[in-house]
Amino acid sequence: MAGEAALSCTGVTKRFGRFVALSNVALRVPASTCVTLFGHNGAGKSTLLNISCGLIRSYEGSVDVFGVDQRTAGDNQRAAIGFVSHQTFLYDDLTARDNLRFWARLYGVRGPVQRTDELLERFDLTAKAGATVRSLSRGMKQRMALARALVHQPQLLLLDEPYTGLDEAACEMLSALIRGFVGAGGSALVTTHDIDRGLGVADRVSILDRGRLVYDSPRGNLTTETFRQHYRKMLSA
Amino acid sequence: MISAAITILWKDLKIELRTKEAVSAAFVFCVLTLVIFNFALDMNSDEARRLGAGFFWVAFAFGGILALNRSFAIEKETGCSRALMLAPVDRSAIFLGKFIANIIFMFLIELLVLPLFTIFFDVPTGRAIGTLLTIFILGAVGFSAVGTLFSAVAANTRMRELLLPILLLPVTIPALIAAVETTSWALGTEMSVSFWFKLLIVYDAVFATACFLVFEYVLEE
Repeated sequence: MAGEAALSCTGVTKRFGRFVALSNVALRVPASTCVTLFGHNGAGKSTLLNISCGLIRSYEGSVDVFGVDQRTAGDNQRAAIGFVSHQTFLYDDLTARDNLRFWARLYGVRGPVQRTDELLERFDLTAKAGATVRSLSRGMKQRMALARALVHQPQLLLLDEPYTGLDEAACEMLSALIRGFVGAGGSALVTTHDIDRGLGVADRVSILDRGRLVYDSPRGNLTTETFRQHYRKMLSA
Repeated sequence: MISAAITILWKDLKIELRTKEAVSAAFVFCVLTLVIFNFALDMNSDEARRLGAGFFWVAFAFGGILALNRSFAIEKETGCSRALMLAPVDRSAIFLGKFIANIIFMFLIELLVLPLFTIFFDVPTGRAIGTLLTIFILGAVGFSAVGTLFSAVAANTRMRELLLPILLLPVTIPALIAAVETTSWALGTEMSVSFWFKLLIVYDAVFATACFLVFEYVLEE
């Protein structure tokens, strides 16, 4: 997989009836990088992520994850992807431990019990292992959601507005985790409209506006203020 | 696939053990229905025995819908239905796990309601308990197969609680009628019943297979 993009979207167009959610989008997430995709609500960010992880299979164009076409990918291919959303993807009436064990078993993780304990410790949730997810704070739930997404050690992490509803400390923790994941060789695509947070984790930045990719560039030395100006200019064009 | 189905089954059983939402709501509804039938219809013993099976399965059908509605509602609440779709498992395994969980819940509801049914309608269930349990299992299988599929369909709509009974009841009419006839026979009020037993078994086999095969297309967006 060396040199292969973690995610490669080419000519992706998605229509919902007459509404065009995505129009000829070409986006690439190289291996071991984090791409942050900005855009207003309704720009198509979530649709692009849903297509990228295989939740939506009817679209025009092609989406490859580590060289495998998502439309024809087998069930096992989904193990390469971890997905974090503003929904937790956790069962409120199961404990933190039971949730992680369930997902570990479903993903075929070897040693699900040990893996669960390891993640609970890594995300500082050991003290809450026996508590139901319903009783956890929003920040703890987001940590649990991250732990769940990483339980099977994916190579590509897709994060859909992950900073939504998090306080400052939780945002910092999330950003550190994303940087750590990418630093350890993983790839990530983060969608957000939080410019500061998004730039803080990005190796590459893109902007989606009304279904079209209007900006795509390496992060380089781009400052927050410069990018904000680009952002305003792109979205008012 | 079997391993994934067992994992999902275990998860559903664990959630229900903790919350008791599905079975308790269905049980209460069934009991209320039987109480209303019992007091509203002034029947003598023979009439009660003759008609009792019908009342039992009507109560079960409506109570069972409450439990089945919960089946995919718990997946929708925090986005877990999408997370299940993202897991590297055959999507039919999701159906299989939830189908077996629903059979267990439906059977449990039948068992819990049976003693009250026996008392309210003064029916000799003790003599035919083995046959009744067989009929309960067959009825639970058919009802759960279609119910699991339609619960997934309805969960994706705003009118979930309204849509499920509208979809489910017409399709399960053959199984419910067969269950009523075979239960009446077990209680000694019908003479011949082999056709209804065969219908129930064939219904279970056909619909369990069909629902298993089409389920993955129901989940896709």
